[in-house]
Amino acid sequence: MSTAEIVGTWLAAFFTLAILSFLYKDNPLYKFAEHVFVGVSAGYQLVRQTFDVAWPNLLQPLWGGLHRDVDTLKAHPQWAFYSIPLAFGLLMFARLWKPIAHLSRWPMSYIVGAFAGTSIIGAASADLVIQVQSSMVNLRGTGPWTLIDNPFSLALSTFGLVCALIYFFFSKEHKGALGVVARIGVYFMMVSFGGSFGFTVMGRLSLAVGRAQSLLVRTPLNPHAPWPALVGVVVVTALIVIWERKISPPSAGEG
Amino acid sequence: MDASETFGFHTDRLSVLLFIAVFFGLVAWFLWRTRRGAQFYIRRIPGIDAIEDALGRATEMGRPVLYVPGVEEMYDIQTIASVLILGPVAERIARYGADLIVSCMIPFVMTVSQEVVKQSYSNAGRPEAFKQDNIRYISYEQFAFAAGTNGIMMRERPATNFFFGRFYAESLMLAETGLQTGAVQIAATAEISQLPFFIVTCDFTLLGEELFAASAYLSKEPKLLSTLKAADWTKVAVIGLILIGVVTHTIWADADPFFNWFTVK
Repeated sequence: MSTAEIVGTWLAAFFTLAILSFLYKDNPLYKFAEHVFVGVSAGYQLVRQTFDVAWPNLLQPLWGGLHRDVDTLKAHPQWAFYSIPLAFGLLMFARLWKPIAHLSRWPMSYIVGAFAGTSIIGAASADLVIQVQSSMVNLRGTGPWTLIDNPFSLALSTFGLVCALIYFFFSKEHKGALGVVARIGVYFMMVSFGGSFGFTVMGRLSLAVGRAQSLLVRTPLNPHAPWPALVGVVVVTALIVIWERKISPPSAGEG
Repeated sequence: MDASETFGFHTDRLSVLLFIAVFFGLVAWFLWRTRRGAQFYIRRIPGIDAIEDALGRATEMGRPVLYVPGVEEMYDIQTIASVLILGPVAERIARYGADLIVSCMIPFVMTVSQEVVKQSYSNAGRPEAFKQDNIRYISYEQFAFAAGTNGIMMRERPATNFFFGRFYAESLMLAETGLQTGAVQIAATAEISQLPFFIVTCDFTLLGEELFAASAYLSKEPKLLSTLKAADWTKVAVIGLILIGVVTHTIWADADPFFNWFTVK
């Protein structure tokens, strides 16, 4: 294991515990970990967006085209058109200069409009037509009856679906029969939310167990376990105690 | 040419075309009626009515309002709905004289939010009260964004938190921290897997399509109201189609032509 990996393991243990110290209360250690996390991720994204997105998709074709690079001209014969997205990108910076700040709205309008337009077909297909078809169940079931694939369950799910859809009807007050059906729809949704909640909580617990294992169980990636975690607990606790004493010093009568 | 294409036309996607055509036809019809002075009824949605009270509470307490427009890109339909809601919310905040903090994960969403909030402050007649630095980009990384937004909640103590848009695993971290700070919280998302977390931690939660209804409800904008009405009647048509489909599919199973007409290839 290299020195960098060993230092990385100790830092990972320290930052995990510093973030977890938020469970006690907001404190300088949490703030430090938060700022490091936010800063590192911002720097990482800047580098990633520059070298993985802007350079290969925009700057490299333009640069290669301008320098009559044979490979670029073969891969991007229409390289000059890339100047349009470049201009739109640069217009985003117009916000920094007040007299032309309004020009930054052009690329914004283009992106929102273009994506809204292109996503209509996909949304209508996946979120509407295919969903409608999937809801047209064969009430006799499609094979040997199971807990889900039997006439009662299929009829119940269709009934729940219709009731839930009626809940989302906004043009009429939910009163009388409509109100009853809408309320049944809410019950169906709440039951499904309950199931989903339990399922996700189980997933989160398994993540927490995984993180604890990575800190406490000795592996090739963490050969000194559980020492980084134990030292981290001591350091984080000591720093929080010092901070607590500093913000609320013992009164004159004490000690 | 593919067998399903006739003069370059995908006949296998006819059902999609028909749905889109019917929907836009309804939008156009309701828009035309709105322009002729028709008034449309929209039922009260408790979560939306609570927005006004929550803003009043923040103003009385002299504490800011936090608005999180989800964690998705600007082209996501939920982000678009969220930014549409941000407009009227910011306008009310500007009128009341409270402070608004918008915490964004996507840089482009921050830029659009700045424009929307700036416009809202101008509409409210208080352009000088607009603080550009309050519309913040935190981080492009999901959990760094959650940590940064939690920091805002703990240190600036907003009296009201709005979580409107698409959220993923960070939803519970945000809403739980907001709950600890004692803020009134209103959430709205169409991300079904995150709704349970908002329901248990927020005072009001707008479920699914209520997020899209909220923008029309708050702004009373004719175009949005027409879309909402069109969506309502599309739902009625969808219920009818599903019930017919269930009957025909139960009778004819896989040989059901009605069912197969919806197949998109």
